Amino acid sequence: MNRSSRTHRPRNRSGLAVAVSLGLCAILTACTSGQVGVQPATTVRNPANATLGFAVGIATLQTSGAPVIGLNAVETFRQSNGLSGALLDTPKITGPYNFVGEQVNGGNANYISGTPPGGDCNVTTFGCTGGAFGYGIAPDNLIGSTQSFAQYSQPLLSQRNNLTTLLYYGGPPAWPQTTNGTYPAGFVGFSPGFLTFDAAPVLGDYNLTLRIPTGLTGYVTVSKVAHLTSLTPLPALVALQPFADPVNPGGLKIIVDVPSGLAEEWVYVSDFGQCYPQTTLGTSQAFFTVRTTQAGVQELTLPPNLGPTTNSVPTHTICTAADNQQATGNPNATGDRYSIYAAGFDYPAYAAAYPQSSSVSPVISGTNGQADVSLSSVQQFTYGTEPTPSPSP
Amino acid sequence: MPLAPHLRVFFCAAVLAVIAIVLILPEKVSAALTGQVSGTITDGVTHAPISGAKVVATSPSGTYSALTNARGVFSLIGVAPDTYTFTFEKTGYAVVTVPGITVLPDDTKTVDERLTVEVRTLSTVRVTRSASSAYQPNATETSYAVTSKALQTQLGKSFNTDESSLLASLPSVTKDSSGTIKIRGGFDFQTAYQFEGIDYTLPNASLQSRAGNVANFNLLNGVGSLQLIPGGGDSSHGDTGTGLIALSAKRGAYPAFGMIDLEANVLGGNWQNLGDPLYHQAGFEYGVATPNGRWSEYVGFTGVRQDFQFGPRGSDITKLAALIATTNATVANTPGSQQQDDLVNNLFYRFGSRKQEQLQLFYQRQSVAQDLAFVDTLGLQNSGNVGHPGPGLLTPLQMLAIYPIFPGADIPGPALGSNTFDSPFTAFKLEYSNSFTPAVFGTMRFYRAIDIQRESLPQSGLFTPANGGARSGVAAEISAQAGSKHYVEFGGKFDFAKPFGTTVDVTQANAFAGGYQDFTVVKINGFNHIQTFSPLAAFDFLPATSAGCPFLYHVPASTQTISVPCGYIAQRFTTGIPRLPSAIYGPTVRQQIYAGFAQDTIAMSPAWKIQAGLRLDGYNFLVPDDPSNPPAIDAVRHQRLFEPHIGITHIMGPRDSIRATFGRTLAIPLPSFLGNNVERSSFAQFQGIPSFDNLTGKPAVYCGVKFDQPCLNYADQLYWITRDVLYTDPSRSVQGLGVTSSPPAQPLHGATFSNYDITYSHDFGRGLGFRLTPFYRRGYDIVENSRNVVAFDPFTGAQTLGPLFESNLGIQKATGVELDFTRDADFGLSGQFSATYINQIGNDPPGQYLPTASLALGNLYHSPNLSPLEATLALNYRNRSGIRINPVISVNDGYPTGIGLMGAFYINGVAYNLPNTDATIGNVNGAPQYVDPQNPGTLFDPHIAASRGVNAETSAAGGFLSKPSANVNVTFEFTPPGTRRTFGLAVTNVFNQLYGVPQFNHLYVDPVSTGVRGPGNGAATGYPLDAFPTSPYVIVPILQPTTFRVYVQERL
Repeated sequence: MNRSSRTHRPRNRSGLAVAVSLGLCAILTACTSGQVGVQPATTVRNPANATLGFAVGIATLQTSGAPVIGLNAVETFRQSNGLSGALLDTPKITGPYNFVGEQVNGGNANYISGTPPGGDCNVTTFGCTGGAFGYGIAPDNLIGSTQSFAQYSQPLLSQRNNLTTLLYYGGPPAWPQTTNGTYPAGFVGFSPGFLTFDAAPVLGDYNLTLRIPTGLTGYVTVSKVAHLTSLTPLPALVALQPFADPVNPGGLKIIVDVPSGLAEEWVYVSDFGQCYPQTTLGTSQAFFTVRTTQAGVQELTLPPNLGPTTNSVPTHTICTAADNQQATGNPNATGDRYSIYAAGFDYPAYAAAYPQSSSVSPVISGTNGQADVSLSSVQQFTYGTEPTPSPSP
Repeated sequence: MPLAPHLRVFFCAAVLAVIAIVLILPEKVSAALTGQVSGTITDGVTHAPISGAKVVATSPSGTYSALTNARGVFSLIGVAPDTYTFTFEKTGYAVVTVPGITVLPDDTKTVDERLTVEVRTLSTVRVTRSASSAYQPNATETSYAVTSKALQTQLGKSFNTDESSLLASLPSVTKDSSGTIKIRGGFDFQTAYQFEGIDYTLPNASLQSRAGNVANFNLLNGVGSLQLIPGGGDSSHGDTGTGLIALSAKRGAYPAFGMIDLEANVLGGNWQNLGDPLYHQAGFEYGVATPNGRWSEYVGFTGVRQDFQFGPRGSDITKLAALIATTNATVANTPGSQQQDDLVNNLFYRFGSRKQEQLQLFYQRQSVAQDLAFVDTLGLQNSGNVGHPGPGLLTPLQMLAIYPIFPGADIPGPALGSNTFDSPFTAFKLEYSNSFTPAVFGTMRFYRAIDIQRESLPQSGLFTPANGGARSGVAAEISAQAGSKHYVEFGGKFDFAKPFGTTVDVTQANAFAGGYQDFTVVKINGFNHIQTFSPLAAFDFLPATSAGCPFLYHVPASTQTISVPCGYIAQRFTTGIPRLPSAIYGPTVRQQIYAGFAQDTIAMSPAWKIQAGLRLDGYNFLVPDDPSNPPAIDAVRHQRLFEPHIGITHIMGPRDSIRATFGRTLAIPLPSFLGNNVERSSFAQFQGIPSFDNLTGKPAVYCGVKFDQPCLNYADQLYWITRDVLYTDPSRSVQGLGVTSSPPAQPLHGATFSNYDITYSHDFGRGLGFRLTPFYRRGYDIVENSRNVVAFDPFTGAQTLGPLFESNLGIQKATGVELDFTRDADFGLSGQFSATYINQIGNDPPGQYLPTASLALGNLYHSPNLSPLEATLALNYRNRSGIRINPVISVNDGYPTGIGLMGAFYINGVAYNLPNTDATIGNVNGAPQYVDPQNPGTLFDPHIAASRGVNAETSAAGGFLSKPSANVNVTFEFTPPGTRRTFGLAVTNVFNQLYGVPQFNHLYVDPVSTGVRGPGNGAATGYPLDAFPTSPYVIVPILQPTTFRVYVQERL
């Protein structure tokens, strides 16, 4: 009996040791929780399920002379969460048969198009990069190695009347400030939603078709028809009268006369700030936007501390002479030379814009069913040396 | 018992020398090269100890004998590694013979016997075990041993040279995703390699090339046994970091033995249009000794000629190469063909009245030449990262006129021709050992290893005529059996490593031609402005009236254009305008590595054994104090660490034992002092010329470590441009998101580890052994290299990655379990099943680099290159008719993969963990999520409009495992009875499974959940889109397709 128990004791110990060891294994194995042994797979949602909205209108393109009448196109292509329905697509706007769009093989086509993958990027108006997104057509197709956040300098087809083209990025105070290091590199401001063409509008239907790749060779198309029923343009915008805010250096006061018939008017100020800190922009150009929905003469205010920042240190919206003298070490430096221009709408352009709108189908047309826009010419001033405004509101 | 006079002198001298070494110039000690066997002889009936019994151990390597003392205890020390037959004799007792006791280096084996009066059998029947058995009840350190017999089983056949596969088949070893061997995780350079006690760490090892730090090329030749010591081991091992791989050479024997092995590939792994890849192997070995055992000699040679095939059979090699080049740098450098020769010679001479003295001359010569057919540096050259200047602004004709010419080429520019790599390696050792008494053994050795690398890489623009180094060392060890309980060892070692040679880099000339944008920080109005400029020294070399001069330089991110004049240098050389100088890189620093140890193995009782030791590891880096050429990375020049080692073994019963060990270890950092190895000599001819910045028309002011000092002359100017490209100073780590904080400016030093393990082992009988070893390893001050985003490209917004930051901010925590089943048998079924589970937590996320922000935040991930579970089953069936079948099945559980949905980034100089989007990563190819271009949200709260569509992507990087894999190799062998000839067929990768690690497919234009980047849209121009077009992840194959090799072996 004693011999028997001596014989079995080691086995019991070994069994216990094995059990402990295996238990330890189990505990250790649990340390890999969160890992799953799967092969990566992909899902591709059908972009055709996104909602396309489209409106056209008359664009009043102001020059130093008489305004040029062009075509305005506003589109929304959104997912259910309100974000862009695709990150790469090829738009094509086909007008009535007598619409003069882009030139194709030396002749005039009745459409304005982009280039699908694999095509020649240089023969179309939108090229390879142009796509239709959540609020407007822009050169932001997801190709190349980096994301683009750019907007067209418009109007497109500007060579026809040799028009000056301008950039329309929504900035503060109407839009959030994006130049504080917390937005993606290269994101200068928000899309205006409209895209104007120096192309004579003609009455009729305009069909926007988006060709969206779904794979290596396949694609789907979605389309929307907009109707141009009136060729009556919005009134030309009255010249802006900005001047340095005497109380808040770096800020502006802007006297604006909003013509009747506009639902709202946006005033853009663009500045290459000599005193700006380095930001994620990759450029020292910043855009500011002041918005009004009231008609008539009024004074708008551009606050003084909306300039790009790093480490949350505010800078002047427009660099003053003193700012630039300190920044450059040049005692004779002047204030920044800035540009100012405006856009007026007969539709709720701001309400449909990001980030205010997360609607799948925001309203992008006015009471006449069109999206008419009036764009001013650009003026340039040196901060602090602007002419005295007249008349005062 | 007094020592003989000459022994006393030797002993005193050795003791004094060791004491001096330990106290004054402490030295490093390698693993012991001989083993020790002790035991107790008792009466089989009364269990009383038997004194005066004679114990004789006999093997081809030699004979050792001893008498038991009054307590019946005997001890044999300094026993050469081999398999011995033990004989126990005592008048009045039956003679007992125990065959098959294998002794390995660093082995402390216990053989207890009971003798029975007038009975011809043992009173307790013992089963002998080889050293590779999983059941090693008496060992006080954790180790896994492979004898030559087990080596054949693990690899299928003798003369299989695949050391990597052999190691991967052992517990504790995992083969990472690039095929590199790691012991209990860690980094490549934390594993130590020794052959015959010679440290095979490259003398010119560099932190820039962490994986290439071992001199031998994983080529097994002449190896008699392999010992793998994971974790701390005992105190006789040093600079081991995560573990030690120690090889011992075969020895000559009487009667002589020998073999000729011929092997060739007959089918498999064909390349498209290139036929079957070549594999030829010839091997030879012969071991001989004089009948009296005074002389023995072993010589072994293996030559291999082979090509490599990766990817599925029939893969287009060029397309595969392009893919690899952009996704996996390790595989990209895998040779397309290779020629290996390896010669090992091991000579012994024994002398003295008892043949107690011994001289050994060991010699190894390896020569490895590679044709790097797969290298495609297109991705590297176009990366735009700091250190790799992009294309210059010169016209092709201007480049032709002044660019450096690759050695052997006629014209500058992208030279064609094969990339070749030749690396001869030589090591030798002269060792004297003496068994002063049966209880005292001493050994002293001198060794030297010389490594030379010769590279001609025209596609990379690198030419290395001869670059390498020499490692010389001396070591001495004394071991003694003190009484019946104590086995004492102490010793010391000193290594001196001297790197030499240069490398010529012609590609850095682009740095002089605007191919590299430099950044300086200017404080303006309290803000940091980044001034971007491109040095344009190349235009100084063009004649003033050269076509295209003056050059109109458009300043990035501005409307400014500068007219850059030409001719500044050209006008100063009347006898011919020099070409732009190539960069010449010199060797890394010289090193002294030292250690000393002392340990005692105490047999407290038959059931308990304790080993306690203390070791000192240290090193001196002899950094030249040249103020004109200071290191870019500061590292400690002297570091030492006292390392306790403890092992406790308890024999629980006749078939069970348990062991616990602890050991501290130091991983000496690879001696790279970046920036210190740019030779000024290549710019010497411009020393007499004043500095000139042709962008300003004034003397250049971008010299010095911080690149803000006036340049002394034009040579100084070119030197600092070169250094700036290679090693941008971390203090200037400024990115578009604000000023980032650099890693703490503390000198780099070696990482330390605490290693713990517990082993339970069991003998199932009939040769079947088992052991289970849970382990834990904690690494401190791990040397990590991280990178920062230094800027965004002003035009594209793409990230520009800065240089590697070496720091000690790393963390390693490895927990795991090792399982080992073995079965020994001469005939029938034998083999080994080993499994390693490891869960290593570290800083490195899957991806191309470790962001410094992640390091600063202390983010930890499952180490991306380690499969949590790897296992190998190696079976060997042999019958008495000469047939042998040897399948080897290895599996792994997949590798942690996936970049994760969150990553670490700096915003306004503060590190955050933020969603991984194209807005934070900056590169859409590497981003799993894409923001809306018109409503992107902030970096903290991005508006993700689409994703890469990888279902398995989780929040943290490495959140899913790649597909598990299995690989099967089978060897069939037939030795006709009565003959010396063996015929064999070795089939590798039987099921043609081509596994690898999923990686982002940079050639796949990303599908996103809404909207698709289709093919051919210009996103990946220049790449073969049809190579792997259909997946956002690709599997870069790391296994060769099925191959069939036949071989014939003739025993001599």
